[in-house]
Amino acid sequence: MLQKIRDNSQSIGAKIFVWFIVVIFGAWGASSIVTSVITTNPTVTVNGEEIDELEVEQSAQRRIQELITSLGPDADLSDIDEDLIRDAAINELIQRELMLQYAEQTGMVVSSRSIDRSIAQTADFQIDGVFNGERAQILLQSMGYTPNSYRAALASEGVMNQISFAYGLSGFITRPEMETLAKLLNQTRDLRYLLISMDGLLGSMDISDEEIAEYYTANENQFMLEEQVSLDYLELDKEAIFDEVTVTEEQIRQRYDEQQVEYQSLIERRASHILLEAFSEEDYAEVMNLAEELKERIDASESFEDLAGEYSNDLGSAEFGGDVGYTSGENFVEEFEQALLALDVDEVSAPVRTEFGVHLIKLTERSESEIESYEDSAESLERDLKTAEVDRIFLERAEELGNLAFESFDLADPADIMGLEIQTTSLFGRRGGVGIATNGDVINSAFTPELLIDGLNSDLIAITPARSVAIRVVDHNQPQLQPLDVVSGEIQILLQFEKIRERAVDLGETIRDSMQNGQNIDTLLETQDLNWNQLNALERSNQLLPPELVQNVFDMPGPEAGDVRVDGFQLSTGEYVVVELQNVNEGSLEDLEQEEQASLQTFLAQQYSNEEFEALILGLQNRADINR
Amino acid sequence: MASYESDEEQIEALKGWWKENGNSLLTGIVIVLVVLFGSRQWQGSQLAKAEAASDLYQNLIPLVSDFQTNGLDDTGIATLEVFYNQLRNDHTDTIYTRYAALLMASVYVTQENYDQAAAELNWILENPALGFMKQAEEELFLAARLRLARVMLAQGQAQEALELITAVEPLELGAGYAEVQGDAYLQLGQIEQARSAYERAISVGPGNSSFIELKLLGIEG
Repeated sequence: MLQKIRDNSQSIGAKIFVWFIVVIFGAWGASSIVTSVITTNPTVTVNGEEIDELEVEQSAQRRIQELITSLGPDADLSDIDEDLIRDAAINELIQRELMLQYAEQTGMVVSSRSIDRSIAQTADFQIDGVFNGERAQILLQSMGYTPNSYRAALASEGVMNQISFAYGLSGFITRPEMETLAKLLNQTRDLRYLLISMDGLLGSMDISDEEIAEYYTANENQFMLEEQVSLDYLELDKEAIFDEVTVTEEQIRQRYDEQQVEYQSLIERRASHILLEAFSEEDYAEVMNLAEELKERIDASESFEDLAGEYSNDLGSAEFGGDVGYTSGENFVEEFEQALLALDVDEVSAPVRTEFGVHLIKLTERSESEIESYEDSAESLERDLKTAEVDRIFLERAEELGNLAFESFDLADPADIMGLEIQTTSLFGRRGGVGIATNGDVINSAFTPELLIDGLNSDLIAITPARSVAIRVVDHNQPQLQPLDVVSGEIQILLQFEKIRERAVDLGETIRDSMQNGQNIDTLLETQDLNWNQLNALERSNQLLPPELVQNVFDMPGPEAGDVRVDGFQLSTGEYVVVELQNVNEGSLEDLEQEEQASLQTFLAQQYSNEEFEALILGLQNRADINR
Repeated sequence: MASYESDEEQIEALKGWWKENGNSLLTGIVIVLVVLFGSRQWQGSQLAKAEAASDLYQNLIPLVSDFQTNGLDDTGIATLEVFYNQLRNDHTDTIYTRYAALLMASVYVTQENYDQAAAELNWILENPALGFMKQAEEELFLAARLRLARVMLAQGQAQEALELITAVEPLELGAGYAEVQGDAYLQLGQIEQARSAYERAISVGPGNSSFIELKLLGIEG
């Protein structure tokens, strides 16, 4: 009795517990319990919501992959700053999280109808234009999604798109705004200008030794010679070995014959036979007679196949006209195969004795295979033989040279032993030089302490698959200041240039000031051989004049009515320009083609809406509680 | 737990406990279930409403996009207006109706129907009382206000535009607000104020700084 109640009460307790579980799960979803058990390290939180470390990692890896792809195969991977990329990935995920929270707060949802529709319309999920559930499931699985998590991802993407469309698509520019900007953008200017070039000012520009010496001491770092080395090296070159190797006709012939044997084994023959069994010498004599008789009948054009059916003791093949299938030389007993080799297609052999009895054999098929004549293949055989030999010698010598270089203090002994000549490079720095000094491995190796300080030979360095070198540093120049007399010419040119620039500016400013003060400059222009260039309706977009000049002209305030405005600028080339601005002509929207108007309109509308969208993101960021 | 002398006593104790607490326990469970069920039902209907608004807005997007690139004929515009009116009437208090109003305003601006564009933007500004999303929509209101000011300038109402955008703190939209102030002052012929507004816009940044510089140069020239 008691046991029963206990059972009951337990089951009531159990039921209550089950109900409890059902209610919890039903109300908050299994995730509320599951996620509290499985948590990753929360590194970043946005308003208390974690950003999954796994997602950060995935996004960072994807960015790194993209970067590597965009840099191309020669990318130096050490240049990639993983922390920086990780930061960018985190920023993007924070922004995403902020937008999703914003969407949730503002009551945004994507309907399950539209998610269904976009799944059904995904081309990757379709076979022949029709949605295929199985395919979708397989694809999703391979991307690590469950159907539910994929729907959730689509929903997130959907609301984010809705927000960006709300701003991006609704951007506008009003007609008056367009007109104002077009007025400015399409403005043209009338002017004339003087270009005071350096050429006209060259001449006897004396630079004293004192000036040169002064510049030299003040700018020593400009005249440092970088650290340099020059190398001795021994080179192994496959090309050179080629000339050493000869191949005799005999070797070529041998190789050809070997190939023929290989070819033979590739040819398949199909045989039929008539077997006349024999178990004793008497049998053999008897069936041999029969065989010869049959052979005669076949030669007299009776059908081999019919006779096989009638006489052959190989019952398995007899009913198929004697067919025993294909062989490439080892399926049948030796005598049989030999006889078969000698036959042409459809030819029937004389009687052949084997351990089984006497056969008449017919070759019914032979797989055709082109066999090149010796004359045709000799050349390529010779090349193959030579290459193989050269490769062998090259490898052998490479190993020997590597060992010798390792064992010796300099390259003299290895050169002697191997009959190689020591070659030398000119001096080069860490950016390399000419010849083998263009190779990165050679440069890096030359500047290692082992070679630079200890004076050792290098390991063997492969410059190309067909060229290897062993190197040794012979000269090593520390970075040093070049002596004054070496660089004084260079300094002189530099200082002359400097003076010419100054003179151009002086002259230009004199002209500009005189004009601004209303003085006559005609004689000055004449003595300096300077001429005005008149430009009418210069456009902002002019590509023919130096961009600096156009920029400066359009940066000038317009002249007072009925007057001109004068200004002057030095260009980065050192030339000086004096500009007399005469007129500013307003542009208008009508100056633009219909198409240009439309693209300007789109561009400007986007500018405004981008600004607002960025303000939204920035605002969300500034008001969020972000821990990272 | 206390130990009992016999089975009978245990049974009695259990029965007693059940008599005392059983009803309230059952009632409690029932109430919890009813509340949960009810709230889910309510959430469900809310969700259905939100989804309907979302779908209506979603319908507008390709139409407006098409309009921006190719223009729309009268039936196209009429279709747009049908969706939009449905949002305005049946889903007044959703964010989607506001987004749709932004889209419609841009359509009207392109048609140079500034009065109608201003009406849509005005509607956004005059219907902010959405409680639960008040904080979140601040940026939306700032953008709508700035756009309305630009439409007013197109209507030649520089003074009103100026009052509209100087009435609030522009937060992250400082550059845009300053630029439009400059435009308004320029329209009013107050060159010095315009210059200083443009300069402020550039210094606040980032904004459309290259165009603002162009406008500044325009004042000089």
